[in-house]
Amino acid sequence: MTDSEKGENQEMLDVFFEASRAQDPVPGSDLMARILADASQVQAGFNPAPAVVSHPSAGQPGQTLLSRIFAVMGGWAGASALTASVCIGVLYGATAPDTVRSYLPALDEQTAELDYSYLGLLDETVADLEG
Amino acid sequence: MMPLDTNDDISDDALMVLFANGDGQAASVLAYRHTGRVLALALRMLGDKAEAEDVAQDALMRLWKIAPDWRQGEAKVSTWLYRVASNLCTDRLRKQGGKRASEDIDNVPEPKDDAPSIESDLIARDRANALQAALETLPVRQRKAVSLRFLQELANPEVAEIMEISVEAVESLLARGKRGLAEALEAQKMELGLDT
Repeated sequence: MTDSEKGENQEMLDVFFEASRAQDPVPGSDLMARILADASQVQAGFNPAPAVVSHPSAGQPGQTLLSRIFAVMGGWAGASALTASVCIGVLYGATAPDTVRSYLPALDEQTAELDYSYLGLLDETVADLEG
Repeated sequence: MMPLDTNDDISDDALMVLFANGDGQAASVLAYRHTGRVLALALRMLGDKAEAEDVAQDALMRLWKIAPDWRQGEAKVSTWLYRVASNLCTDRLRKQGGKRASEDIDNVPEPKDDAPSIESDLIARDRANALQAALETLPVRQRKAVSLRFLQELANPEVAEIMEISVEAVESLLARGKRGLAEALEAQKMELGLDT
């Protein structure tokens, strides 16, 4: 094929190319709707809505304050455990300090060795300031 | 939220970030900006409007999915979409085993509104149809190269990037493609008002 023929072919093809470009399709509304629906669906996966988690402190409509506290403690099981712990603590505190002390002899020794001489110095300092 | 409908000069990269961050309007701008050209390429490759629309939808779907991982400045959205769409077309053509698309009237795209007259519009449509028929006689790679270069009007380096081949290979495909088209259209020059 000569250069002249190539040039003629190019001119002819340019006419066809131009005609084809003039017929470029315009996307229909149905296609655009489908594409945008896809986009929404995919985008929803990027930012999933936070799961609804019931929080005990938030309570439910109609709940009283007492019932909310009860729920926070863990219901009957939690309340029973807490009550038992409090009772045992009071019982030991009121009736058995000597028993506890007998198990900790080192405590008495440390107490006996404490130096309270600084209290005398403190009295003297106060007296100087006042007098 | 940014009023994207009045901000057409916002870059595709920025729109991808906005879309990945949940901006609902970013998808609209991207879709209206790119669907037409993807659809045009698919229609020229496949010659079937319904299939071309499916390819366009599929290509855009892949764009939405890749948005969170989109690397700004690495590839143009248009180039990326052309590559995906042309590969989807190639896959469909392979599955068809080279079967040529039907040429019923539904496959012919609607003419643009600004056609100067009915007669010239009919001639242009006949020429476009003749070119489409000639394109479908070309091997797939030549058809893709010719469509991207002369109908989508991309530069050779961009065609090379889309087809993932060298610029020299693109030039070779274009030369062979044009020769094939010229041979196929030569006999129709007279009836299409081109032979003086």
